[in-house]
Amino acid sequence: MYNSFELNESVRRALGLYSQSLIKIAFAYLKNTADAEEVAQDVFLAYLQKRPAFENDEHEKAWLIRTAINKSKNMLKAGWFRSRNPVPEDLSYLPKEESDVLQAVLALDKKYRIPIHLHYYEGYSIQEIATILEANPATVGTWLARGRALLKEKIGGMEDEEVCL
Amino acid sequence: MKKSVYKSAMSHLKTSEDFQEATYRKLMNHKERMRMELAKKRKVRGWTAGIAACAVLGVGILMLNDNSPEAKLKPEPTVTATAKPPIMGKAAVNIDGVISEVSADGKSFKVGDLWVTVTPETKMGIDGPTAAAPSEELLQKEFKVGNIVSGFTTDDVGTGKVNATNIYNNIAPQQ
Repeated sequence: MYNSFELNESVRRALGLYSQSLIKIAFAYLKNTADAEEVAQDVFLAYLQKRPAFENDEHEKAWLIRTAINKSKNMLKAGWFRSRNPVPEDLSYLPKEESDVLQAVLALDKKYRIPIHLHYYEGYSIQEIATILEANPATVGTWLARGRALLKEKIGGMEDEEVCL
Repeated sequence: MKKSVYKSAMSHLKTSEDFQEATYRKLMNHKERMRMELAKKRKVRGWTAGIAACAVLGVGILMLNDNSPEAKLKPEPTVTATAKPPIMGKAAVNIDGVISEVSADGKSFKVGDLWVTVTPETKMGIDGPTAAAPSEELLQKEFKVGNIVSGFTTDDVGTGKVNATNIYNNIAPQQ
């Protein structure tokens, strides 16, 4: 448990360290920066309210990412979110290659998209992704392989990249 | 495509520049609001507990009073009972004052201009449910000059000499 000062410092530190990771995982889910930032804020609010105790920084990051995924799922299920027709995120400011890759990943089904994001952006291993997603490591391996295959069809490359278990 | 392209693309994704500061402010505001709500809840809880305690105490006192045997025996208080009692004493007490003279046989004494004689028929002391316990202090056996005496006679006090029907008090003056 934290006292008030420690909690404030802990939140400030977590904001500095993990804001971008949370916005990006939520973006991978929701495909919209504004919604992703809202989810990230909700995650930090949950952090403040629940005051979880962590074993180490990795544990803390995994908890925050897991919470961001859950909150993103909840937002996707929300009636107001489903009923709207959002303008696709403008990624034209990115270099063409980056924009193409990002569009291709965002076009994947989320069961492939999220493991790919966690592996290629966060650098998590299959085992770690399995823990975060509460899934079987073999299943995660399959999702990653299929996701890569789908990306290969669209943009080429990635064929010779290995994902270590 | 290389791994780094996706990571680079995600890294270049534009997000709010003041996200961290705005989020921190929002969280601290929320925390302050929660603290105030908690304080408010505690205050309300305290008042509720206080009022409940007072109510329980009040009911307890009422029940205690209703159950006490004294309360059952006592007649209901009436308006006349709580009001100042009527001045009945003027009818019952017509001998009242300080003894200024005592006869040689000690059976008569003078109060003001009235000579009062104590006869064997004279009732000594006060009776009745609220009377004080008989005591030497309040009713001395001998009538002495300076004693404060009160009593009642059925005789006409206008004659200047009466037989006492009752002697209520015969109190020696304080030393």
